[in-house]
Amino acid sequence: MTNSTSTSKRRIQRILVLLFWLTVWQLAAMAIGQDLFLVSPIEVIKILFHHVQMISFWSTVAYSFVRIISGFFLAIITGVLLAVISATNSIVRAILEPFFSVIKSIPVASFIILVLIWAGSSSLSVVISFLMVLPILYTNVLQGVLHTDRKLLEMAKVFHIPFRKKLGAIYVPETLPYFSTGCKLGIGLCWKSGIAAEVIGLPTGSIGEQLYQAKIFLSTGELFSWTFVIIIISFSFERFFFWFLGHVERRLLSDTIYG
Amino acid sequence: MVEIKNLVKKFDDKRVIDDLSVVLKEGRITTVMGTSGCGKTTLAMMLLGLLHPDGGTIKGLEGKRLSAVFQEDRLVENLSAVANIKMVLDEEVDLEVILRQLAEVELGGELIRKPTGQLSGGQKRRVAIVRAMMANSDFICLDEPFKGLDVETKEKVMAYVKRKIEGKTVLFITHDIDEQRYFGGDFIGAIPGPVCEIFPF
Repeated sequence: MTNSTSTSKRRIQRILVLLFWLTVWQLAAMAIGQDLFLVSPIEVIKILFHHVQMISFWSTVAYSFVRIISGFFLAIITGVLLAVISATNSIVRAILEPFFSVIKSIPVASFIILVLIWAGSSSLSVVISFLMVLPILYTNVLQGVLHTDRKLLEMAKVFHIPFRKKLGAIYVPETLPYFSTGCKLGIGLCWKSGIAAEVIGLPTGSIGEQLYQAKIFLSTGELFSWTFVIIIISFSFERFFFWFLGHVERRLLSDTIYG
Repeated sequence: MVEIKNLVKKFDDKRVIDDLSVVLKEGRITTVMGTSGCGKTTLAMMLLGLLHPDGGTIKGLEGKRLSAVFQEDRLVENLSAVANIKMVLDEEVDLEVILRQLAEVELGGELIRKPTGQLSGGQKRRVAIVRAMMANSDFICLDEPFKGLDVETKEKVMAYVKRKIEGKTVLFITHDIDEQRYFGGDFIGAIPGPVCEIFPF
């Protein structure tokens, strides 16, 4: 069987599975018969269709997207920098270890309340998604750098290979899989924690605020449609990010950097 | 000249190298032979600055440029043969020059464009050898460099290496007495323990 045939077969299978669950959902909603408890997928699509025609919908999506993704990218930059410093300096590593252990074990709700007091609600989702992603990126990249092939590093030492070449040819390829795994875990978490922060902090014009409104008015349709929006944004961003990362990876791992 | 004096290396309580004193003469090849696990590679690692001795001194390598064919190939496997060689070169070298050297060890065509991870054991070995020969160096360490090469290729590669190391200070580790005879030079027999005798072949 060719690759393209098996890919299209998998795609059809996936669509059929999706249709199966949508049908189950629709039948369940019809059986219950009350939108308050379980809204039907058709109703959710109607609400979504209504939303996308409004400018306020797009500004709400943009508000949350920019903040949560900013936190994610800030965490990537900080996590990578701290991991590189820690990998080269055991004292820094020892100092940072308890800090990251504490961040990892503190419940996200405690952080949200604390940041709300310190920084207010407008930058809440930036700080929360940053704090949730940072330990993951730091730990993963640090593991990657520390697990770099010792024999290759010895070879580089003997031949006096300059740091720039060593970075591109040895460290980056060895660390990239760890970095990718960290990003994969981080992307899901930044959306979950960022939106949770908005629901508690209620920054004006955010997706979290819309979810809160849905709770106040017991509007299950609104809740489902906004949840669907979050899933779509998170999924699309993840696909785009890993497409871009794959592109960078291929460029870095190719010979082109050596002419 | 590289002067090794009363060199000691211990792993846990075992003395792998015990009070070794030997001189590697300038511009000559010195061959080390001995049974497996007797400390040949340990000696090479100390000369390359990758292991610290527990006692004794190594003089004459301070500030010198080093090169090596390690027991393992130690290639960056996602890079091609050419990129692996370019990594160790100080200055820009024409691609043609690198290709000529690779051709001398029977590497050419599509092979040199592939990531080295996709090459066979013998092909990787030859890339590692060309890399060591092309690196600008004053002292070369060859740790069983022809391991895994078939007889016909080995002859060509040995001839290439002999040409390239001429006039350089070389430590050559091997199990094969024919290889030692081919390269000539000085000979160190007994490690561990004090070297009993060093004699020109």
